Amino acid sequence: MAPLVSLRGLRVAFDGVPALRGIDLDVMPGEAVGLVGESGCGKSVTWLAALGLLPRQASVTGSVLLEGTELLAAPAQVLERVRGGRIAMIFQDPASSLNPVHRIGTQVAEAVALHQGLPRGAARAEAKRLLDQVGMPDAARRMDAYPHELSGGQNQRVMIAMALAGRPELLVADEPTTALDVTIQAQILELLTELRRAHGMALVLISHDLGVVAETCERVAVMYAGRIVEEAAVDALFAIPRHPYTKGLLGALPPIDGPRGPLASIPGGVPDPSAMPPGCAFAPRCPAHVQACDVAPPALLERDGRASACLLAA
Amino acid sequence: MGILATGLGQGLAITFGLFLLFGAIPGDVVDVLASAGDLDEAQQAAMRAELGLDQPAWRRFFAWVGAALAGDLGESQRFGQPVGPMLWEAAGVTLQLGALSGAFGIVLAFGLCLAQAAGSRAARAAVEAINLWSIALPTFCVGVAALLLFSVWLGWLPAIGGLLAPVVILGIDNAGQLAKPLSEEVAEVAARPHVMAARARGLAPLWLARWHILPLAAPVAVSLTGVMLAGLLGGTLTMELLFGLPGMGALVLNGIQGRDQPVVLAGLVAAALAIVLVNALTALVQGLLDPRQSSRD
Ligand SMILES: Nc1ncnc2c1ncn2[C@@H]1O[C@H](COP(=O)(O)OP(=O)(O)OP(=O)(O)O)[C@@H](O)[C@H]1O
Ligand SMILES: [Mg+2]
Repeated sequence: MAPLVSLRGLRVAFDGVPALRGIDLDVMPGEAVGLVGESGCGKSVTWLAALGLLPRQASVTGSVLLEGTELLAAPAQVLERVRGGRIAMIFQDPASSLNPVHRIGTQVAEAVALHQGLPRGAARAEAKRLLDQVGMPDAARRMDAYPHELSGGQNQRVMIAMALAGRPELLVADEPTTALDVTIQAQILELLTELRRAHGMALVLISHDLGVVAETCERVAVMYAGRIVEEAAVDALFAIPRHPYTKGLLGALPPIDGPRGPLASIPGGVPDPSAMPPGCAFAPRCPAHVQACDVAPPALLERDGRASACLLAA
Repeated sequence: MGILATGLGQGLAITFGLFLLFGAIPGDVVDVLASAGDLDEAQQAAMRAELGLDQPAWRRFFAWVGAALAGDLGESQRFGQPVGPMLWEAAGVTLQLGALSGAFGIVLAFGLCLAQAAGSRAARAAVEAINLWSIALPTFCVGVAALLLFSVWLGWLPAIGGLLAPVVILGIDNAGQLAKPLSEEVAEVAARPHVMAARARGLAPLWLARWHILPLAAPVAVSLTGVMLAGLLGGTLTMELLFGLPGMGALVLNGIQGRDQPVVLAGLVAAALAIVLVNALTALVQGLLDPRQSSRD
């Protein structure tokens, strides 16, 4: 099967400081991929770059193929049709991701009108249907509410309804539950999984939380300092992590029934992006560090249907 | 309601203040008339008594307010004509000049900021340019230059009574003051998460600017528009005198020179009430623009 989206050698720099240092990642139609890593490793930038959403001072190179069409050099009109129409994106803070001065019904209908070309009345009817579908309680009445009158979880449902308006083939959810409390988190993740199955939609779930990814995704890519360092099926990764960074993340994972926290308990900190080590970026923190690690950044090599970027990966 | 009461109080306070101020200006209309002709002391005293100029300020204040509320603004002490029609005619000229230049300035400022919100860097540069222009060049100087260039040298515009030049000059001046803060607000709003989310939904830049950026930046401009319109009154005075337009500014200034109290009072009170009204309208529009503000009250 051909990948839906294929990132190749994707690099991003802000004012000469590298943020992404060569990302290779495929997303198959309908599959759910998790993207994890510590704050600042480039998870959001990867998908903002893919959709041409970064500010002008960002330099983006490499390749982003959507079923064979290159998006990086694509004209604005092509990108506008891809955004929301083929690849939709939702964000971490649903309250601030909505326009505070428009009613939510208007905002969902706007997305419906844009992507389905429906006239006003039909767009509102479809907007209400979408709000019902994402489990908005009392959707007909909530159409007239403003975002500040809804809870965080309800606002995220609105964002998801808007994302569905374009019937996208891929939904990129950038930490969709980080700002929500635990029970709501579980509901939203369940909703995403349900919708993905119902619409045959692929999902990229960006998260700090390996536990969340394990429940929701089939495959995981682990990022560190602007690169993917390990990629594998969820079960394989949890059973036998190959990259020392992944091992560290799993070691830092709280017990399954315990409270979830951010991934933070690997000693040391992320290297300064403007002064990267010459070799493996994780080397300064790595318990398995040997001299060969400092020669050049190790390539992401595939073995037994999974890949890792470590000289010592067993 | 609160806005109305405040406005009314402000109007009365300003009017009384004007009475006191007027009393502080040395000389009155009788002095002016006496300096032109030959009135003896007795005639002057009789005239003052007839005009009520020998009364204390507070009495004249209440007499004036009472009459004004009944629709009688008195007679010009200098010309013997009723003040109402004089004021009405002059106000028409000033309102026309003010409305046209205000509208021109607002359209220009909002147009540039809309283009900026849609991603135009040229619009941003234009905002800087007209802002510098309006800070560096007083409308009086631009007016004189325009008179010299277009009327005297090129002979294109009538030097007296033409509206085009004053409207453009005042409009650009206002646009410059309004566009700069609006443009900064637009830049700030454009960086908010909901704009990124809307872009990620595939909305086109102009739509985004119109529906997701400008409405959130507009409140700052609306409050500035109030200040701007109030400032316009000053600007129109300059233009009226330069371009010989028979507006309120000219009327009041001539009135002050002639110590013609009823004309000056009526003119200034009308101007003050106009400013109070503009401020009240501004507050109202702001409430309408932002639903969070009205639900907070
Ligand atoms: N607009 C920008 N200008 C300059 N630098 C940026 C910009 N956006 C992101 N960066 C930098 O790019 C790097 C990657 O950021 P990114 O937002 O992708 O991290 P992330 O993995 O999503 O982190 P988090 O988990 O905190 O969301 C960071 O070092 C960040 O400072
Ligand atoms: Mg992020």
